[in-house]
Amino acid sequence: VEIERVAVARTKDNVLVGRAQRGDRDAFALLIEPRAGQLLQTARAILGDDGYEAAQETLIAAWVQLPSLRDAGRFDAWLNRTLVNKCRDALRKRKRGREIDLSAIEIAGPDTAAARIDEASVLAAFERLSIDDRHILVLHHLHDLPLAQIAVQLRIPVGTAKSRLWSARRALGRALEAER
Amino acid sequence: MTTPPASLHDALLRQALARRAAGPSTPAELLDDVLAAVETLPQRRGWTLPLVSELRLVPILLVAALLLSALIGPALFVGGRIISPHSNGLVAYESGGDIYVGDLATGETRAVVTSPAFEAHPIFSPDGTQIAFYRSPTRLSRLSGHDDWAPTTAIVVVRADGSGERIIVPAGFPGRALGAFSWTPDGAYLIVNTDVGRGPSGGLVFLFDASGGAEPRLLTPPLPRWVGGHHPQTASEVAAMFRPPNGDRVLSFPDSTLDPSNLVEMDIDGSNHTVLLDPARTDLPFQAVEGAIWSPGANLIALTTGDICSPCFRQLDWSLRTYVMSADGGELRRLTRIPDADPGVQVEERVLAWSPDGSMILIERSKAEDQAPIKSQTIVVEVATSIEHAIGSPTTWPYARRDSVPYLPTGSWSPDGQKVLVFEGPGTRPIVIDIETGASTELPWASDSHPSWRRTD
Repeated sequence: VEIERVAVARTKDNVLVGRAQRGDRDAFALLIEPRAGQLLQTARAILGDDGYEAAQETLIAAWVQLPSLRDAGRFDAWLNRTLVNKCRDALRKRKRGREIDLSAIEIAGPDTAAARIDEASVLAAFERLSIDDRHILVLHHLHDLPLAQIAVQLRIPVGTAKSRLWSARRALGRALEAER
Repeated sequence: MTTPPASLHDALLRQALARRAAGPSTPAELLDDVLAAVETLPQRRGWTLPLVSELRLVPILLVAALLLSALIGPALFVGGRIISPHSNGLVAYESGGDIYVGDLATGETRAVVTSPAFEAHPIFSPDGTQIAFYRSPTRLSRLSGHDDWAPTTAIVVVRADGSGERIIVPAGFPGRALGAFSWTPDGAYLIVNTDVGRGPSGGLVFLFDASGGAEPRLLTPPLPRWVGGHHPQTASEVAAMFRPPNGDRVLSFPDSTLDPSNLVEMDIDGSNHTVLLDPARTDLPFQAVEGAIWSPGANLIALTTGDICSPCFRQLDWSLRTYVMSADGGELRRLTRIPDADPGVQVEERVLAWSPDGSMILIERSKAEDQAPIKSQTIVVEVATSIEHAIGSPTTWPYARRDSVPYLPTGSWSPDGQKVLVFEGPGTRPIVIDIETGASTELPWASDSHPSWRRTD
């Protein structure tokens, strides 16, 4: 039943993508309506206040560039990638002031780190991460997506999703050390 | 793959992200704004290639297969045996933090490198005269066999008898953790991957003079970094980047979501960039390339890439299949023959190694079906005919998901191309399988990493 439900939803989405690619604005609205919430939350979680603008630019870019999407089944992955690129652009505009080499910092053991970390330092550490790292952390920790779902959304193998998530978590660990 | 640091405080992260994600504007407002903008915006015209139908593709692939057969088939077998100019020597392996060599014929072993430090992952140079390995003051973690090591780890080279020790990559260089390493095909350099998958600063590849004479050379850039996407994780994957016999050209498969031209070839200075496989320009169901390996003669490339299997169990519609193409990117064909419609089963293949003469490919194929344990089987596939031979017994993992398997099996060919060496994980006894008879023999000693077979001429 689940397979059938997913298959039906995909077929429906593929039809909507096809119609939207031919300039059907109503189809485009139906296509993005169920995605807008997660997209906005993701953009905000990645960028903070600039997130709304990035989400808006993502969806507008999706409309403009949709005819170039060859495989309707890749729509979600394509949208995710567009969002990541928009977030990256926003970050470039922001011109972050501080940059440190996170790789040079050793990760301390969990016992010593635990006491001094609070929500603010986690967020500050998160701000130091690349957009790709932030994105996968948001998918997993904010939207509670399991690896299999992340793999589906990003159109990558589960092993790659796991590897990326693992790297992002480790980068966050390093960034936390830098914040302390 | 090791467990992520426990100090991440997942709950704090979730809380912080949720607070940040909750802004003043609603999804409905976003939709209104976007749709208002869309009302006045024209779409950009799509760019497409003429479609090649499946029916037209079949004869093309058949012709390609026949051409390949004609080109390399006659050279493959003489009297039913594979011809290789090399012979099998000793096998180097790691045990208890020291490096040993063992004789498969007699079962005798001998310590080659013993020191108070921990030595790991011995790899014979292509000509069999030297061994490179990691050295660390503490025991290296080894859950998956391709993690990167702490900045205190060095890479050392000795002669095959253990003499003439020299440190090629000093501990702490380049202030980053070491990833997988391997020899260049000509044995002149060690290719060392560092800080894999660590954002913009990660995935740097260095070339170290194996004699210790010249200064190390950073290859990324000019080569693309492996940021976020798949990156060479094992010694065989690192070695596979460099074109035999002298490593003058490099294969790279950067993150396809960042770069749709996801299999490229270039000089090691980054020039003469050639796109070999562009998923946007093929009608085959490609997603990201997960691995690509030059054949020993550098005339072919084997690659694994995501394929859509539908419907697969749950929402996982990924399968990894093996393809072979000529080195110029032409004559692409599917190598393995797994039925496309296999409902409920996810199949993943990993190319482990080409046989020394380039006639066969060693592949690990695993199947996952809903919550059933994963089953994997090592196979050898004849390149010219796609005929498959199961090697050894199938392995059943006590896991329902491939990404839960703590250590992926590794495999390599004996230098004479007659045997296959399969290593299933640290502390296990490697298995040697005769590909003609199918007979398998467990080595009399256990190893903590994939053993390396010495080539003798």
